[in-house]
Amino acid sequence: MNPILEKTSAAVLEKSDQRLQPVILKLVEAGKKVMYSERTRDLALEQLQGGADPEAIGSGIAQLAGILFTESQRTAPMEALMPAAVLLLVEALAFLEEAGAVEVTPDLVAESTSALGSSFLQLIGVTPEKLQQMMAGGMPAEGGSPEGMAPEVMPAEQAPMPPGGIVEGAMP
Amino acid sequence: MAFAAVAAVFSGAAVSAATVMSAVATIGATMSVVGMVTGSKSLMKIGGVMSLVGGVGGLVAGAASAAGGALTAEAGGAAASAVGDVAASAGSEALTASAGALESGLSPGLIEGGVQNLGGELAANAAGNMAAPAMNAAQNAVGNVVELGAAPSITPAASEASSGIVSMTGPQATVTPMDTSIGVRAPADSFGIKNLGASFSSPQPSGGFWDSMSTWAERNKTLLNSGMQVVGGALKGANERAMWDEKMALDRDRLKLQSYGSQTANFAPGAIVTGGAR
Repeated sequence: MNPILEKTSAAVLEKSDQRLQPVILKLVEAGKKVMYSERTRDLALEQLQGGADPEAIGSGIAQLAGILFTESQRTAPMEALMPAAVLLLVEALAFLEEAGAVEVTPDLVAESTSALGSSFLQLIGVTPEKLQQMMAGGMPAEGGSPEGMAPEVMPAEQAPMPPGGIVEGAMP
Repeated sequence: MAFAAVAAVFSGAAVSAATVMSAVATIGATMSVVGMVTGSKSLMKIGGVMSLVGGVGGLVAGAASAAGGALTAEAGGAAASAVGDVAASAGSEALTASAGALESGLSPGLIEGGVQNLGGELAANAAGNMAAPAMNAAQNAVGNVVELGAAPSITPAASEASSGIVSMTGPQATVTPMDTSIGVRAPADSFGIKNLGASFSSPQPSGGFWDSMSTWAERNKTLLNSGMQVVGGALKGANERAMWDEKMALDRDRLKLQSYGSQTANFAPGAIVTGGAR
């Protein structure tokens, strides 16, 4: 496998929660079954003919991740699904490189990952407007006075002490 | 299944806000990791921004569905990760278009340095084990699922600081246990694979999508920074409370060992009388 792809896989696995690694690997295996099934062969061939389009590659993997999420009855944690999606992206790029369709470069990996993230967020309906609604639901709207929002936490050592100290001050 | 059809499945699935924010934070963290490996500054920048948004949003989403006082794994991990990002990149730096500010804000060394500084403030043995996982979560680019014990009660000041974020419970869509049986069926028509179609294009190209996200984050810089203050303040307050409790426990133990006053003098009348009685 291309060294860039190996480094990417290793880094993603290393940074992920070790306790979720079995889940991540299982998601990757499930995704591979989908990717390499007979029914997706035509689509894969179409990708090969289309050349190295990072947007198409990333978007395709995002859809695959979406399928895995829905098929898991929405129980697959995002903390496992996203690393698995990147690993599947690496797998797809390795496949395309072995087929001679693309030359994997750091830029291609970066752009494909960007497309993957963008497509997945759009898939789950994340837009700036939605984020604004979510944020506004728990916090004052933008434009409000930061001072009026929340006082800073007062460190314990700065808290006013009762006269005579804590112990003496508490005694009747 | 075309992109629109997959999206429709999601829309019908009613993914919770907390799950969405978790996805945002995890995507951001993962993109940051890939950005560091490939040397893509733009990817690191976007990843940092999304991690921050997801972290703060996760806290908000968690508070919105709150019912108690525990900072659960998802909100805590995402928030801790976001706190680490802020400590490293000072949130607003990640939002500027300046390449210089970008580099200084998101260089791995600075991130590690920032995390170390933050870690120095967090006691490793905070009640509820918030600090150590928070340090680990902040050090890991990909959002961790952090198990938290019974979280310490947030100090009154911290509660007040949360203004509106009254209870810091985690989201209802909690992280699932590590059940590896995710129930994925073999590829079949149920996946709609044969209907995946030729169109793999997402509705909006990634460039435009990230530009709109960056613009939104830039406009809401104050909101996000305020959110980070709340997160940082809550964690700091909880940590100080834990340290205070520990200090008091130590003082009590010391008092037990050294105190003579705690022993009640034996002035029982019988002993005096019998001692002198004949």
